[in-house]
Amino acid sequence: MVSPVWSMMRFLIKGSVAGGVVYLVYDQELLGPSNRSQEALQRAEEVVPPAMYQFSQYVCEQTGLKIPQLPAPPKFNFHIRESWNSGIMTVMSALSVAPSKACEYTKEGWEYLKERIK
Amino acid sequence: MSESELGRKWDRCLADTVVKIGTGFGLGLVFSLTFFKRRMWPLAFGSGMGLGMALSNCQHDFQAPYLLHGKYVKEQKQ
Repeated sequence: MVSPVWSMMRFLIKGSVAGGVVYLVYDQELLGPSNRSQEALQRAEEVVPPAMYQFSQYVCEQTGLKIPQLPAPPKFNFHIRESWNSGIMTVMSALSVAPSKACEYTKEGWEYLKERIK
Repeated sequence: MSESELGRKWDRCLADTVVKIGTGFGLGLVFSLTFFKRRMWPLAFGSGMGLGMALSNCQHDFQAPYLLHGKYVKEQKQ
């Protein structure tokens, strides 16, 4: 008598958890247009770090442990896109100039050798 | 399309991809734990669905300025 009731209870609990997660996804429009997903990600970025910090403070108070404070991460002022673009332009200009420069250096080297041999 | 607008579209596309793959993975995880006896396929299915939806959104976003929208007009017989 207990096991059918227990299996029904288990099914209801599992169904409610799964249904709650599906409703949460539907309500927050996580699988909807891309601007909604971007807004959801921004909201998560605003909410999660303070929540994590408060949770760690609560754990420290309850257990008496002290979590050392990590130093702030360094901020880079490095623009990848501009560096990549300037790198590509430098490489392409060097490749375009390479044959003429190679001829020029070969001539200079040949003149130098002729003078040395004389 | 200006470069700033292109950059914004790429940002939106990447954020959308991250959110959708995470959501699909999460849904797959929940269903795997509750109904499918901790099998791996719901996670793979959910992640794949999320990736596909994100890819479709990105494609539509990038092609949007160049898509022509037409409508049927009934011929009017005089």
